[in-house]
Amino acid sequence: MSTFGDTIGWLTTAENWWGPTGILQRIEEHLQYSLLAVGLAAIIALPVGLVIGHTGRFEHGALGLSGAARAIPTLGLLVLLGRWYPVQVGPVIIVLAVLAIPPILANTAAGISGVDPAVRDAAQGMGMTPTQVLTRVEVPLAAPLTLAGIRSALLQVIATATIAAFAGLGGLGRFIIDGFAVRDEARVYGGSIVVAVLALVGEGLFVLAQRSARPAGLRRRRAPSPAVTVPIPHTAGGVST
Amino acid sequence: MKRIRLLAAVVAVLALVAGACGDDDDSTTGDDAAGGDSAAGDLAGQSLNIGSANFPESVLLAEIYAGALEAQGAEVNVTPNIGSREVYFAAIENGEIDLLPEYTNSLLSFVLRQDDPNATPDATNVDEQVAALKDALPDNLTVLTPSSAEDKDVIVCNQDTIDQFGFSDLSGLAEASGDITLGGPPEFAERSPFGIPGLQQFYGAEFAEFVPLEIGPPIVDALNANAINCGNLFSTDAAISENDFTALEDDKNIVPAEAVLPLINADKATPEVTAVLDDVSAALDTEGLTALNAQVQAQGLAESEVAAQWLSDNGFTD
Amino acid sequence: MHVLAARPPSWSGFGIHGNWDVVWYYTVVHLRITALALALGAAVAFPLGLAGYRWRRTYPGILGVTNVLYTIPSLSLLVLLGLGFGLGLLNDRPLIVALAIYTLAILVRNLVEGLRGVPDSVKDAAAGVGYTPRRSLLAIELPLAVPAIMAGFRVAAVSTISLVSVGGVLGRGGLGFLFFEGFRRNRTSEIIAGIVASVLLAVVVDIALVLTRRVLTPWTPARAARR
Repeated sequence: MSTFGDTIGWLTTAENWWGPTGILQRIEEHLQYSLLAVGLAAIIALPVGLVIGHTGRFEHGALGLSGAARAIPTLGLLVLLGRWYPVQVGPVIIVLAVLAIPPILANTAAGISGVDPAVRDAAQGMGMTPTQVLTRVEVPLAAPLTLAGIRSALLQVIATATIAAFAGLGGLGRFIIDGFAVRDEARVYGGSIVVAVLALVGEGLFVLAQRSARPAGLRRRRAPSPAVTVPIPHTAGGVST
Repeated sequence: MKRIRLLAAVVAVLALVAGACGDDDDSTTGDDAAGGDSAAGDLAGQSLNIGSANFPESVLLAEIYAGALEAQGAEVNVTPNIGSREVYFAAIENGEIDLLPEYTNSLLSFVLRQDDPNATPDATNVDEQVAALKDALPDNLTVLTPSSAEDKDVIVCNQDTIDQFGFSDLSGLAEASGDITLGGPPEFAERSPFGIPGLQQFYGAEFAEFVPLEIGPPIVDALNANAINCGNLFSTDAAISENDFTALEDDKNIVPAEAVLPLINADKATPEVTAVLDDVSAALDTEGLTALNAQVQAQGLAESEVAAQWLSDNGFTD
Repeated sequence: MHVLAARPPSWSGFGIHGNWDVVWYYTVVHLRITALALALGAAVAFPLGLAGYRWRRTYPGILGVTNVLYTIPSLSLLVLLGLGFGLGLLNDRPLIVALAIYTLAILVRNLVEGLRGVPDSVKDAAAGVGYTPRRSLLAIELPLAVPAIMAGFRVAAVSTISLVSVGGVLGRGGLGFLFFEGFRRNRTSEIIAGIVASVLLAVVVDIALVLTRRVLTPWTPARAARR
């Protein structure tokens, strides 16, 4: 396909990388939106997940709510918020955070509540206060699953942050939307490849983080099967007019 | 095991049923409730796929064409909101669509640039444009008689910007452009003469920032929120007067005439079809078009409703 | 389904009043696209998953490919399928295929993990009683894997419903069409109607799938006991 050649050509043209509308600038913007959104989601979801997992209360309610949140069409929500706050970053961050909260919440709660009761008993038997049990035992043991949730959320968000372009903002979605508007397929596919690569790089970095997060004592054993970590598909990766 | 087979069977049946009913194609057969009742018109037996661009006026015009043709007995399928010209032109070129409402200059510029990305039309008036179009279009496409109704691209600015800078035409805008944030559709960034490169070439304008937004309410919202100073709208948009925006004068006349006319598959342009569409074009004018747009945008009425009313008022339907 | 044979009803006015038929129409379209995408995804995921289970060495590769496909932004995939692969942009086929591709990542993984989750003791017992590997798979392992499969199916369904709206960018996409039309025509209620209907649809489908799972696996308690 000559489109393939064009796409490679677009990706390898130096001019496309530099400048205020270049690929590097858009990557920076894209990462800004993504990291801010996941950060916001984590700030909300981590404490809530901790409480749910530790106390076992509100489990059904909170998880049910987060399940419903998964059903919200990200793009629709952005369109709605964009009507009231046009061309602003806020709506994009909020909408992406809504996307990121469910996996982080579910995994954190599952991680904490999944800690073997025997381990908890042993810790209490050793004389740890409940807070110490939480911070010294439960959190470290739940860390891998929690990180898996954050990783899943990050992957999702990076793939979906392309919708920022629809609100008139930046990010890698600009190449997809603008390219589509002028029917420059090379730009659409080129931009998409950059998004995919960025997402996969993020994945890779996270896998490393997960490995180092496992408490030293467990490192020799195989990783816990992430049965709870079902990948959440992106709701709108790359939108155009 | 039985249950799994049962489930598989249910899924398969559901899929088949879902696939059988309903269409893959958006162009569903227009129900001939209207056409069937009226006497079999001149167009009985003819069918057309009518498309439109993704802004209300285009949908409106497509619905008007559709209603007029259907009233004469043709079978019509309407596929609105196809997208920007780059997308729907491909659709009419390869026969997926037969008829589209178009605008003389924009279409001509587009067609010429298919061969030469830097080409600009020489035609200055509507007649020249039509002649140039018939020449430049692929053999399977043609255009019919244009209407007197025009809808040009304009740059409008919000009141705050006018108060601050005091310009009233594009030259004035160009002088202040270093402080101006401009909004327009993504294509605007690459279009000429009416686009970033065009404005730079003809007016020497260099804008502080360009924000890509769809023409219409997104630009209106951004103007009202002061997220942009000025934006690209269509001259027949009712929002301009409603929101006290100022449409800037094109003092160097880089935007030539933009008369409304049908773009049609040459095979479908039978004498009967041509007659109907010519009548429609004759009955349309700029003021009327602006009023119709106002009904769609200010009153939120569906384009098909507004079109139906207009067709009835102008004698195309009973 | 005769609803779909008629011309799409148009939204009129600024409120929801009188436009319920429009919402219903696009909900049916939305459901149809979802059902076809899930069916297609399941049809491809099933053999792929079984292959990954049976021939362990292929599994990482299969998983890797589905994961990569999963990261392709949806609009790009639509453009690629519509223009690059010639499915056309004016129909629902690119959307259905794209959505099916996204479900693969979830469905394949859940199928394999579900099958692997069947305790070895059960498989041994089956073999001991005289089940061939094939019959064991069909009669023992798959049924026991149903909870995991259904869990994946639920997530796939909800996310597909969410994703269908992306088609709105091209003038299609079921309820997504309402987002874009509401956006362009200044009708906030239309956008909200689209969102709410989409969420409700997802909730209803999710409940339906939960009920289906209970029917298929009456031996599973309705609520998992807390560990």
